Amino acid sequence: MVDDSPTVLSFERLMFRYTDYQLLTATDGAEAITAARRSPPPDLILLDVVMPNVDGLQCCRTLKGDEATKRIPIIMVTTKGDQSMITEAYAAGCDDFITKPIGRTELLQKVRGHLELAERR
Amino acid sequence: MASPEEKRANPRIAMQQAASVVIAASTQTATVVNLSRGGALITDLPALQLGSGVRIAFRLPNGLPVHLNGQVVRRDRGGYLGVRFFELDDVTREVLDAHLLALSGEAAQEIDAEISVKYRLVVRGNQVTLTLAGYLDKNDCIELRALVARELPRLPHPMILIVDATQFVCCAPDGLKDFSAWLGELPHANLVGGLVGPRSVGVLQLRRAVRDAHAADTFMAFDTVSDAEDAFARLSA
Repeated sequence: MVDDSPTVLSFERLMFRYTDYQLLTATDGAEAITAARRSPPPDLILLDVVMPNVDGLQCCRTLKGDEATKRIPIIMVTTKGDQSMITEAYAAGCDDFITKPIGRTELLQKVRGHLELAERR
Repeated sequence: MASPEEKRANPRIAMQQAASVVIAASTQTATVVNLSRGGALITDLPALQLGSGVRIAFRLPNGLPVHLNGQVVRRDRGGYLGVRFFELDDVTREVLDAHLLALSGEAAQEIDAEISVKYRLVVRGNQVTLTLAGYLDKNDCIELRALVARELPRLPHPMILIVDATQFVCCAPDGLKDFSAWLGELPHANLVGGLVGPRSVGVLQLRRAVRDAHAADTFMAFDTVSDAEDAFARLSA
């Protein structure tokens, strides 16, 4: 879970309550890239778009351009739900997106779906 | 003339509030000088016959609008007219009771300001629950914003704001600006919020309003109010 807002990270932790997922957090894109390159890599990344230093789009491009991390599903978490932002997120290589305010049902469905897809590959 | 028992049951509260009064087909301005659950004393009106039917519209000192139907039952030489209200509907009775109770110094700690069944603002501890229902037109949105603006100084900090939109259909397109504006007026640093409801048009409008108010990082979406309350209880812990 990558977000510069501690509140959002707390929210996301709450939403994964009662699940078996192990959660790691990072507060900007650079930290996320470092964490993703560690072994074992994360199974999925929830990535905020607007962050200091390396933003979510740049982070996504970097991870999807790296042989070691390009298969990790990335769900972008956007504040803006407009079409241009969504197009830009997909162009950066993300697998899916959700818009804030984040809803638990939608978040868990998307995470579960992308993890299952990744397992089949 | 009210009996002493009636007077005790319906205490009168002094006020000085501009009102519009509909008499027959014409609308005139007047001043409400006192108010009780049973009636009002108004002035600045031409002399009316006893028994004349009137409709009085005005705002209570706390800003809530009320519309009351009644009958002139008294007039004196000072130009004051006593109006006895016909039976009040449930919403108006509740608004009046809450207001009169507050003015009489017996108000509970809770704010329970209800303008209509369309929206309701309740504060319990540091949890503020705003319930929306049905369709909100432009005027509803403006009044809702005014209500929140008035209550802002009394709202708790830090605050858990739960917007219960499970029965909310949608609001007028222009109303979005008002939603965003009052959400933007809330102090985000001390706020966490929950948006509760299905993926209806109204909830999508509210989600957008939350984003436009730059409050998306402080809000989560939930399916039920109890889910939200449970999550925030854990967050606080």
